[in-house]
Amino acid sequence: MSFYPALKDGLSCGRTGKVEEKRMIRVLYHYRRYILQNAWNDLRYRYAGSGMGVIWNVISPLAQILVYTIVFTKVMSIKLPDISSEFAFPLYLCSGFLPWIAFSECVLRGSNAFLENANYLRKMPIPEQVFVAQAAMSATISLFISWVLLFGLAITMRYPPTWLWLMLPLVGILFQGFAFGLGLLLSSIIVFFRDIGQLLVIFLQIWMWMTPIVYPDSILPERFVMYMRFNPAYPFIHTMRDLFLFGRLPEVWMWWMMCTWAFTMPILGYLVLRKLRLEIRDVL
Amino acid sequence: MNDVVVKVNNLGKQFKIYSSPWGRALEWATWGKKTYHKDFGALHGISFEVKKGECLGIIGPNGAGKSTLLKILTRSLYPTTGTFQISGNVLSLLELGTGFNWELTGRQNIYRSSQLLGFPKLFVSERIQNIQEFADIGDFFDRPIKIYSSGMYIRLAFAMFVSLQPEVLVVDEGLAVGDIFFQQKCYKRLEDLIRQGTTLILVTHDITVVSQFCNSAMVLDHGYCIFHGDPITAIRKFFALQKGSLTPPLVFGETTKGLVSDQGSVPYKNHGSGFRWPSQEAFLSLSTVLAEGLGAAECTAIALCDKENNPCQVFQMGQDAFFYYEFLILEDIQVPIGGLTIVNDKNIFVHGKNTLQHALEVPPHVPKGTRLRFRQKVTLDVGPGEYTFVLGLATIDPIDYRHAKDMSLEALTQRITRVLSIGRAGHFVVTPCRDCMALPHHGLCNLPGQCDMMILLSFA
Repeated sequence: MSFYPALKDGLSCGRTGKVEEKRMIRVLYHYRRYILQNAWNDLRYRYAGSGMGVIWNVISPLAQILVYTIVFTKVMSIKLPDISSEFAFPLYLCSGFLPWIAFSECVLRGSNAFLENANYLRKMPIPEQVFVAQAAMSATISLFISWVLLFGLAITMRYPPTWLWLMLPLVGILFQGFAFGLGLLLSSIIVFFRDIGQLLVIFLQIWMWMTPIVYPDSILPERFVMYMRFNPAYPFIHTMRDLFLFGRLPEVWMWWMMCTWAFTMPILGYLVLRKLRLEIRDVL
Repeated sequence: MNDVVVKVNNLGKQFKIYSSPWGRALEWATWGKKTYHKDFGALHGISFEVKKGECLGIIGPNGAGKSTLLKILTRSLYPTTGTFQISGNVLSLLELGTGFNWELTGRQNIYRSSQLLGFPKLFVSERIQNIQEFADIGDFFDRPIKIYSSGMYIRLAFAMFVSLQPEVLVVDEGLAVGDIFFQQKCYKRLEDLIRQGTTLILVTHDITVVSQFCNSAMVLDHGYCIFHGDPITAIRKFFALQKGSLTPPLVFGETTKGLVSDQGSVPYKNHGSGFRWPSQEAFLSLSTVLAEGLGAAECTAIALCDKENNPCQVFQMGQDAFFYYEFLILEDIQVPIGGLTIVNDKNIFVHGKNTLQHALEVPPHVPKGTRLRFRQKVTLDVGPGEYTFVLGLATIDPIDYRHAKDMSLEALTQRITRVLSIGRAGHFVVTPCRDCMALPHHGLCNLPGQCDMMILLSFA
């Protein structure tokens, strides 16, 4: 009468000093229901007790988008070169900004996941990466929800949908995979050096403005464009914008960059976690 | 072989203690070549096995590593050395209510947490009724738990744990919850679970629970397992630890060499009715007693035995306990009065009686250098629990002694001079009778009494 075989073999702590290999994917698959449900509950109950509840999830990014739109179109009156629609800027902004919100939330909450869930980690045998995955999942869900809203908005603005939109979720998942890896990497380290958490908030701000998210690529000086290939967020944002707005398939090297980041980061994060796992719960 | 559910082999846990957080950074920077931490050993080489349906008690002073061990067993800490195997799912009352979400109702939380603990929804659905009944919190079951009282919260959590029927249940001091009726219900449920084949690992300070529930017990001290075996012996070892000494006979053997062992070699002659003085093992350590007195006497021996004169610190309700104690008289005193006071764990004075009340034949005066030995039999007709006892020696004028019966209590109290009082003389445990089902009585102590019944039939 045992329900979770992985609780028996997969998770048992084995030989001296070495935690028996818990293959990350298997563990995540094993806890998939928990991750999904918690991520969902996280969104549902994050604003529990407030009058409008779930709606706040949408309102806060909306407000940000509104502010940026006003600032960039009315105050600084930036023109977009490629599209002429009157409502182009909000769509332009949303196509890059919504994934970035999901990304930065995923990194921030993911890196903080062990501290935030110290209560569980101290007392329950849940593998550490589950909590990072939970943060990533909730960010991904809210990204998908906001995309659905964005599509609706675009269609009501008579912006024609294309088949390329269907590729957006794939890119979004790659982006979130990268964020998950980064969160995983940082979460193990932040447990020991909590200052990094504060630094990260600042760093993400800088990172956002270093990437053409709220402003168009075209205002980047020529010599900066070259450096963009070293900015891991750039290919993702660029690709999503191409797919959504310009109906262009990105070049192959973009795909290469994205896949590399999306797969190496989680592996790196997992290697670090594996190295530090023995001690993480000791200091929580 | 299949019976062994929990198998622990040479388990050890070391914590790294850094004097500053930079220590770890430096260590990482040097790739672990330099160390800036001290190892703190919380557990050393723990090995044991528990079979299906058995109950293992883990006792030990604070900081002995009990909770660390439990956390390792529930896999919320990783061991530094050693291995362990547990077949089946483990639940621990350490987790009591950790998975709960304040916004959700009790029912929703039950589903949520049990899924988190690895139980499928269907399995929980079958038992939800049971859980609701056990928790017995009425309408609150379907209300958000943020409005629960702390007692309700615990009841809900406990109800969930015991109803899920895990193969191994780990309980950490967790049962001091709720009111007395709920506690009783908890213990009863634990008994049922054991009967149904759940293996129980129990960490507690409540010695009576250990003696009542456990098939075996382990004593931890500073991370070492110093004893693993039958619960009664374990309790003895644990008491010996609490007294802050090594094994009691050893210490005693040094301080009163030759006194107890061989009557012939000691220049003391027995006066009055004799009794058998217990063997060395029965004597408790005197190193931690709190002696208070005028210096006219000192306590040289304390022993506690059962009716076969074997050393004993765990008694069943209603059994006879024999207290032996000896005073060495350093200054001449008059009529000696020896006495004993029993205090329970809530510091309630349960019983006290002295030689005056026992109307013992006593000498009119005791010259210095005399050794006075007392044996006092007490029938422990008291409720289960932990007790401590205090010894005392007093003296009274021979004339007053003869007229003690005619004196008022106040007058008598005034004439008695306390010579010595020995606090923390020792402790013992009274457990419910192991074989019989019902308690001989409820409450603090048994009062002599009688009960009759008359049956009046109606002719309707």
